[in-house]
This record gives sequence, structure tokens and C-alpha cells, in this order.
Amino acid sequence: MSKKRSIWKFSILLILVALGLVLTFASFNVAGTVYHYNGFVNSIPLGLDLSGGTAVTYNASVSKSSVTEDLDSAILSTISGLNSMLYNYGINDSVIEQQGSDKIRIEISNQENDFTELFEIIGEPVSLFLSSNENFDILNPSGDYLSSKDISNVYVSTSSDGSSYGVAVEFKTAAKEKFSKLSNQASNSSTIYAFVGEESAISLTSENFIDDTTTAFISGGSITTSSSASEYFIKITSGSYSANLSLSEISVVSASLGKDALLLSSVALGVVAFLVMLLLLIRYRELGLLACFTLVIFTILFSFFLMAVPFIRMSLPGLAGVLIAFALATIGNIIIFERIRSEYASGRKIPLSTKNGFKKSLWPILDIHILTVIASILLYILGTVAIKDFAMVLLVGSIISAFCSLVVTRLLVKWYLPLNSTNARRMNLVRSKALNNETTNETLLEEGGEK
Amino acid sequence: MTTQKYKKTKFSFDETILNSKFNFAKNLKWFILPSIAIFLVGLILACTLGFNFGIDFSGGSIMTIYANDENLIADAKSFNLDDNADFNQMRDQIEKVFEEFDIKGASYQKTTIDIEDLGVYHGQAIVVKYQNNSSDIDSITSLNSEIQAQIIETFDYSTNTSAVLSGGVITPSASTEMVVNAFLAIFVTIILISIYIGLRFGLTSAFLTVLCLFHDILITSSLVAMLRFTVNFVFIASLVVVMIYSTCNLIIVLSRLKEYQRSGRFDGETNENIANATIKETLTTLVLSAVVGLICMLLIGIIGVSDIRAFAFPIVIGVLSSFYSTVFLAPGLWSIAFKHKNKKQPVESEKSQEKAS
Repeated sequence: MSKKRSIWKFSILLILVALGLVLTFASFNVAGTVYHYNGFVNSIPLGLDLSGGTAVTYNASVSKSSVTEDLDSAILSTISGLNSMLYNYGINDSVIEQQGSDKIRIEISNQENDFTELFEIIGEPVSLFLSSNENFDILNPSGDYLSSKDISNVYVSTSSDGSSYGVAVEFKTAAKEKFSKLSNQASNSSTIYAFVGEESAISLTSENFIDDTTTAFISGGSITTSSSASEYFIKITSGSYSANLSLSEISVVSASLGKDALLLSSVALGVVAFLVMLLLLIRYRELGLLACFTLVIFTILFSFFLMAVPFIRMSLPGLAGVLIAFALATIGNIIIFERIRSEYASGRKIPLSTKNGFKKSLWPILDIHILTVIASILLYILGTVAIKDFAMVLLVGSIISAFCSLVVTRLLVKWYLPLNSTNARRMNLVRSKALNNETTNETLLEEGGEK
Repeated sequence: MTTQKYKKTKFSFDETILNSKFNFAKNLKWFILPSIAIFLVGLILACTLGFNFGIDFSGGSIMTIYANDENLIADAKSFNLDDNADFNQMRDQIEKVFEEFDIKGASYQKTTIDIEDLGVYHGQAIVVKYQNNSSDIDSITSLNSEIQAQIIETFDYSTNTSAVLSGGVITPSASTEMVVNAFLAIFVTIILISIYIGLRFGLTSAFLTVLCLFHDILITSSLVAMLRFTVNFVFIASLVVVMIYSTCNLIIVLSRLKEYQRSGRFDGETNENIANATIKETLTTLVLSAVVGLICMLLIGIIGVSDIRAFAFPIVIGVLSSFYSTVFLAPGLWSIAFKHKNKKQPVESEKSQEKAS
């Protein structure tokens, strides 16, 4: 009875796994429709180094009015500004570097959205001045005023009643004194004017100055709709950088690892999987076959989650993450089977050996995976771009690996036992003289106790 | 019945290990020598020659070479870079020029220039990024213009020399702050791992973990300095892999050790015997885990492109080093650290250690 049921379970699993493999690796046109199915593996977003992307070059210059900064340090601070701006747009793998003496080069991988427009807008920075003087001359600033250089943060916001969009500008704490001066003038019902680039002045009232902060809300003129607000958000942010940027060129670049990198890595991953499975088969025979099943299921789940989880981008460090996650899943199985082997070696019968093996390998496997999860979360928080890629892949991989070792393998062995619970040779289990002598008495007691 | 059947087995790896008289715990002072030697040589090399930093750490130069713009290179042969053969041919020719100037490991990217600035043309080009041979800006610039002239000659672009644009020197994309942050992240992770191990397995094990993890990271870095592997941002990721691998090995051993202490099987035994028995019984697991790691990393390193080698080979070193530290250093260190406590509280100490965790 039970044997039959096991065979049924395995057959159903086999069909599911085959289906999973097709969903993972195959890409095909669905017959009779225009819909094109892309396997999980082919839908994983690729990073700059594996797939190529877009390169943008800006000319950077320093306006003559800011005497304090030389071009190099201006470019350096601009690069860190650009970094955080791109990160806000979900571009988490940009490479930004200074090129020559006066150029900034940004490379981003192929994204779902087209960022050409964003890069064009970044190249059109506008200056921002706040002053109480309606005829304020932005070329020759005078009196009390706040300028782009005082900005610490900019974001898109709506007015307090939600009727119109605008840009909220937060000024540096160093400019707090100037800010409160203007804000006080505004609360004394005199108008403050915001000069955004070449636009005509936007008048601000006390409502525009948000209490207890150094934030001013600018709305009106050409900044009223959601789209114009987000455009000016970029322009003002870009204008607050130390260097003035102007777009020099946008180009499409191929994978930095070379054309064949992706193909070669896929081949290598395939060969790795094959050899590891061969090793498991040789060492554990039919148990090894179960482990291979687990690894195939791991591969399917892993590919699916790599595709589905946001912020994952397969780059070179990501590839390292895939490999180490695969290794973890394998080692999880090895720990279980080695335990079963040593339980059997010291004189127990097969069913009890597997039971004890799973019991005793539970905590080591949990420990390993908990630590990997902790490490990858920590690295994601603390690490920089390349490390973040790696950490994210590893986080997903280690959770799936824990599931596979603790649940899938256990289930498979449970189903397998009714098929074979006496022939140790088929599982390559061996009695040991050395262990047997040591533990015979204890084992017998234990076995009696457990039954 | 089955027992008798398998007594005939001629050779069993497991059995050989279990019966061996090899003392893993006792010879710590000999086992630690190779590690110290490797570390010292690595340290000397790192201080004198420095690491072989990649372009994202040390900066480099960039050069754009046009392939097929009609205005630009009317007389010369133009390449269609979408065609693999054409791309490879052009790349090989460029590579030859760079090798003449003793510049290796450059990266070649196909580029399509979409939006033009004044003076920049439409069309396809190959962008070459390479490391500078010196740090003096003048000599870099003069070398770059020499390379530029050589390439113009190679491709017969003499009618329009702007077909080869030297983009000049690029700064490292990884700032010092980023590198410091990355190493800080590794350091904090090691501390956190040790705290976890300390809570689960006791203080001695936490101490052991810190030592082994630092050992593996230092040995990997030393050998990378010795073998002149490229150190770039991905190298930090490979150090993290080594760290996780090492933790994994330690947990395999420590959990077995904890189990023995709990079962009381080794009550009254010396630390050395406990450590030896533990290593002997976990050795097959450790060997297999190392083999799996080596299969993964060696293959991806051998098959993959050069940048992949830069992360795979350090991990190969790390996997070996981690195996070494777990099998040969950890038992010795553990029995020393534990003996110290045994003197104060004979036999009982193991159990109190257990309760503390």
C-alpha cells in the first residue's frame, strides 16, 4: 500500500519538476497566440557587466561665482549627489566616474524604463534663489537670499490641501539663520520670491515655509502639475550640485565583461551542477538521487525568486552569490546524509538512522542558514553597490536553500523509505567497526527507548 | 546479515580516518607555521609591491575607437560591430597595439553613440578601458597619445584622427569611503557571527570563530597579493564568500562537539581526544563540502572570462584555507582554550559551559 503511494507521489513530483524545468529554462511562442513565454532564467534582470547598458557623459564646470571650490572636489561631491539621485530612481548599479579633468561618466545597465529623458533633464540644471526682493538679480545676488548651494535635499510634494503639486526644498542647517529670516518676513505678511532658473518669480507666503524645519514648498508658475514638479525636482537637485552639468553624449555600451561572459558563465553553471550531482550520486547512490532532485527543485525555485524579487540584478558579484547559495544547498544535503551514514555505521537500522540523521542535522543546517541570512542582511545594509547585489542574491538563495535542505530533502527521504528500508547498499550505507564497538551498548539502549 | 556483507569491503575512506592515529589537536605549533609563513610573505609583498588593484580601485584610462562612421573614416576599412567576426577582428587588432605598450587586461566594450555633442559623430565604436602603468599624470597622458597615434596608424585613420578619441584618465569608481565601508561591513559581520556562535556554542567557540575567520581572510588576501590576482570591488564579495564558507565548516564541527558534550560520551576524556574524535567523524563532511566549493569556483574560474577569474580564484584559495583552519587549527586551538578552564573546574566545566550557552 504504502509502497504504491510512494511511487505515486514520486511520479507526480517528477511531472511537476519536469514542468518546473520547462518553465525555468524554456522560451517559446505560445501556440496560436502572439504571447511569447520567457523562462525564469531568461527573465532575470542583468547588470551592466553581463548585459551592457547605457553610458552618459556630462561636461562639468564650476561657475565663476563660487570661488571656494576647485573643479575636482566639485566633481567629487557631484558624483555622490548623482549616486543618491539615481538610487532614488531604482538604478542601484550605476557606475559613476570622473573622466578626464572635466567630465563625469555614468554607466547604467539596461533598465525596464527608458531613462534617457532623466539623463537629459539632469543635464539642464536650474538655479534656485529665495529672496524678499522682487527684482532680485540672479546674476548679481545681493541682500538676504538663499541659493542652490544651500540646498540639502529636494523632493516632490503636494500643497497642504493637496490641490497642487510642487517641489519641497530642504536647506542645510548651516543656512538656518538665513532661512528663518526669510520665513519671519513671510509670516509678517511680506512676500518672498522664488527664482527658479530663468522663470519669472514665484511668490511664496508664510504657508510655504514649513514650521520647525528648514523646508520651503515651491509651487506655482510652471511648477503645478505632478509631471512638471518631478521635472523641476531633478533640475533643482542637479542645480544644487557643486558642478554645473551639461549633457555631452548618451551611448549604448555592450557588456563590460565581454560578449561571451553570459554564455560562458551559464555553461560553467551547468557543468558545476552536473559535477556536483555526479559527486552526490557516487557518494550516496539512491539518497544522492534524492539530493539531485532537491537541487533541481532548488534551481527552479531560486530562478523564480531571482526573477520575481525586486532589486535583484545579476551581475558578477551576483553570480558569486548564486554559486555560494548552490554550494550551501548541496552542503546542507551532505550534512544530512553524512549524519545518516554515521548513524547507520554505528549500528542502527535504516529507518532509525534516517530519523536520527535528520534530527541531529537540523540545528547545524539551521545555524548555517541563519548566519548566512544575518550576514547577507548586514552586508546589504552596510555594503556598497557590488556588495549589495551579492547580498541580495545570497539572501534569497540561503532562504530557499534552507527550505530545500530542511523540508524538501526530508520529505523525499520520507517517501523513499517505504520503497527501500532494508537494502543499505543501494544507499551506500556501511557499518563501521570503529564506531560500532564504541557505541553498541548505548545504541541499543537508545533504540529501545525510542520505540 | 548486512553487517557481515560489508565487512568484506576492501577499503573505506570513512573507516580509514576513524581508525587513524593522527593527532589533529596536538601539533598546533607545526600546523600554524605554514599559515604564519604565508601571512608574512603576503604582508611583505603587500607592503612593498602593494596589491594588483583593478581599474575600479586604482582608476585608469578610457579610449573610444570608431568603427564605421562614413564622415570619419571614409578611406579606411570600416567594421560592422554587430557581426561577431568583425568585432573580434577589430578587437584583436586593438589588443595587439595595447600589448605593444605592455598593457594587459583591458576591457573592450561595443558602443553605439546615439546622441551627439558637437564634434562627436554617430556610429559604432569600441570603448577600451585599461589600467595605467604609472601614477604620474604626465607620463600617462603622453603614453595615451602614443597609443592613440599607433591605433590611428593601425586602422589607417590618418585622414581623420578624431576617429580615435582618448577620453583620458578616469578616476577610480570606488572611492576610499566605499572601500572602507565594505571592509567595515565585513568586520561587523564577523563580530555578529561570533556573537551568534557564542550564544549557541559558548565563549570558547566564539573565540575560535573569530580566529579562524580572520585566519582565512588574511591567508586569502596574502595569497592574492603573492599571486598578483587583480583586487577589485568583486574581491570584497569573494572575501565574504570565504567568510560564509568558513563559518559553515566551523558549525559542522562545533555542532558535533556540542552533541558529544551533551551526550556525555566523552566525560572524563582529555580535550585532545574529544577534539580528535570530532574532527575524525566530521572529516568526510568537511572534505565533501570543500570539494563542492572547489568544483563550483574552479570551473567558473576556468571557463569564465578574466574578470570572473578575479573572484573565483580567491574563493578557491579561501575554500582550501578554510578547510585547513577547520581541520588543523581549530582542534588545537579549542583544546588549548578549553584546557585552561578545565584546570579550574575539572570535568564540570563542560557542562557549565553548556548551560551558559
